[in-house]
Amino acid sequence: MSKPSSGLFSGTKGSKNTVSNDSTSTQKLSASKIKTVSHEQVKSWAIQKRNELTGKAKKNFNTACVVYDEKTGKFYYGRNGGFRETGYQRNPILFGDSEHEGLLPKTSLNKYPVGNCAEVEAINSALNSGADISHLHITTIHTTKNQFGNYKESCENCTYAFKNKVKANYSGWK
Amino acid sequence: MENKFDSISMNGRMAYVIMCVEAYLTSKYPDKNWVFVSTCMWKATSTNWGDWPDEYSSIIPDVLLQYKNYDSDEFEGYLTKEQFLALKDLYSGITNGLEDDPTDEVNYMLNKPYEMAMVYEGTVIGNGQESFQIISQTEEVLKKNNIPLPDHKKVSFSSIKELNGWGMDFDGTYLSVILNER
Repeated sequence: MSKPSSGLFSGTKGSKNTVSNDSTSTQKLSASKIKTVSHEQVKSWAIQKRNELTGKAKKNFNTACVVYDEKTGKFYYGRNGGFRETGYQRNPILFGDSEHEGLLPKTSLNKYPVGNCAEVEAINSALNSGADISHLHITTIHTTKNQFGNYKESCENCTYAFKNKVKANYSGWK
Repeated sequence: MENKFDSISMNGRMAYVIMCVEAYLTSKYPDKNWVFVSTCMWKATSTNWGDWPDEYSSIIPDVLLQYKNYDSDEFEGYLTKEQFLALKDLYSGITNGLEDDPTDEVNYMLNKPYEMAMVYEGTVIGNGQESFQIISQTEEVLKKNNIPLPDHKKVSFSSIKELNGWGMDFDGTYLSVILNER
């Protein structure tokens, strides 16, 4: 993972990056700064991910999302279809369990399965690490050749699940 | 600007694109057996578009022809070794699997249903301009080859008012000129 151009953060490789600066300073970041840094982070992650993927997985990779936890300064990443990966642990806050309904809709509001989105993988990862959903800032981009880096507005399922739940969505709701 | 597909759902637009691809394949290569390819394409109208592209991209030339030999990690669950070899034979001499190359018409056309499923994945349809562009590109290949366009009214039953513009699932195989020739 390359450093974001802002130079504010340094990261560790992997599915999440941790801010190495003291966490107090990260809590003072303005929304516009978080938006800028998140955008750089997710672009860097997407480039790295595209280089790692091969064959069908590379062809199918069209969306990347980064979630920033303002409480801890950690970043979490996701891509479209990421929930199919082996070992993916569905967080009950999103997917529900035997006693509670999850935030995600029971049946899909579009042509894609519930949970398919990059946002879901990133938020699921944050929640599995103990994050509070109300502290999360999400940024989602296109990763296709023609539109790489452009903000990607959330779909019907993500809007249903996350609008008014997360702190901010810099890519916009449906 | 009005488009003839304004009132038709994404699933209906998908069906029309598949009809265009079938028209192209059967006109240009009538002696080849396109049944397996057609069967894979038509699953699109009755399957979610998270799963379908994973299966369908296995048979797109620019993916399949990357592999000299059958790769079970890549194809298992979607293609048997026999189907993989049959597709390599089917594509032999008519496509090199060159991605993003409109002169490789077979690969270009077989990518169009895939593009239709992917163009709004993870987002919303909006005014649908990107999907109209895919349709237009598909039609251009037919026009260039003097192949009549399919009748778009055959898919007008699938309304833009269904499921936030996506359209309800339907079995589109009855619209297939390949599967109904058997």
